[in-house]
Amino acid sequence: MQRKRSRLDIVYDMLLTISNKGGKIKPTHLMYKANLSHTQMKQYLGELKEKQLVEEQEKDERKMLVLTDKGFALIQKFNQMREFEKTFGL
Amino acid sequence: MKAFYRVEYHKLFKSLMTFYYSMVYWLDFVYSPPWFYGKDIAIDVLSAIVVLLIGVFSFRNFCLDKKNKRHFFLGAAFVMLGLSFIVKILTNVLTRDTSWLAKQFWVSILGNQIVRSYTLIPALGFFLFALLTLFGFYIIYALSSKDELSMNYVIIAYFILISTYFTRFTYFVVYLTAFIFLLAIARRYFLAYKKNKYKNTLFLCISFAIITISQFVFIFTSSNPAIYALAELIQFIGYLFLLYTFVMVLRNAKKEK
Repeated sequence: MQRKRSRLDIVYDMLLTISNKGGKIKPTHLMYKANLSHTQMKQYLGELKEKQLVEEQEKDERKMLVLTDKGFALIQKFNQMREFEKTFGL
Repeated sequence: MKAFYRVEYHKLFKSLMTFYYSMVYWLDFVYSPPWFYGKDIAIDVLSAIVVLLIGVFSFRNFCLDKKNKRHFFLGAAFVMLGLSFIVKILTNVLTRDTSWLAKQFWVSILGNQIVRSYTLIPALGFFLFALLTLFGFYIIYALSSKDELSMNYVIIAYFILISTYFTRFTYFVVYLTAFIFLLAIARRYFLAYKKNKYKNTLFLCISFAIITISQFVFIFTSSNPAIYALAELIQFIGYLFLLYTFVMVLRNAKKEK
């Protein structure tokens, strides 16, 4: 059985999903791709926006979520941490 | 009357210092041979930088994920190893440059019989170096297993203190203890590599295996000072390999999508 995702895992999945989509994604796509409920999506997205990891842009009257430089840097830090954990067995 | 008090204070101070020196009695530790002076310090500085770099990186990871306390403990272990190198460097520098002056100072106060060939700095320096090194390696050993951190570790920490105490009489006890810890660490990382087939874990195992060999060589330092230089060089190769492993971790993270 897979373990429950931690808060950090969810944030990482959200940021990685946006990054894999070229740094831009529609909110509904993010919700499905990151396996989130509507409530979770609202809560975590608010947090990401507040920390300026993600920003909202409007294109052709459609809302888009864009990963900021700070968001890209955080993904990099997460990747380094995961690699480090894998190497040292933490 | 005044003269009487002065004499009494002097006697008291002398007896206190005699007691202190009997407590911190240390054998002469074989450090670097004269032709290796400077080079050994450079090697220790570079080794300290490597371990401190990994320690700081681990602390940064802990700030990112405060729920994973293992990052904090690993950071603490590497910082301890870094500090042990710093203590060793300072001890070497201060002992070489001021030992004669310091010895004359203590000889004038306590007399030649008490001071003999040892002074305060090498004694305290080696004690701190031994304690920090052993605790550092022990924490890495404890973290190399997935077991929960429990009270058993407190008992082992007590034995580390005891073994550090006995390095007063036989300097190689510290290297022997470090050798045993490192052998166990290298073995655990090898078993982890066999299980996960992850290349960086193998590099980590090789780094610790090389450092293990260096600790084994350090044991025989007293028979020939040149062996100290050899052990330092082997240890340096081990820490360079550890740096290579760390660089590979960062490089793999960049590749990861």
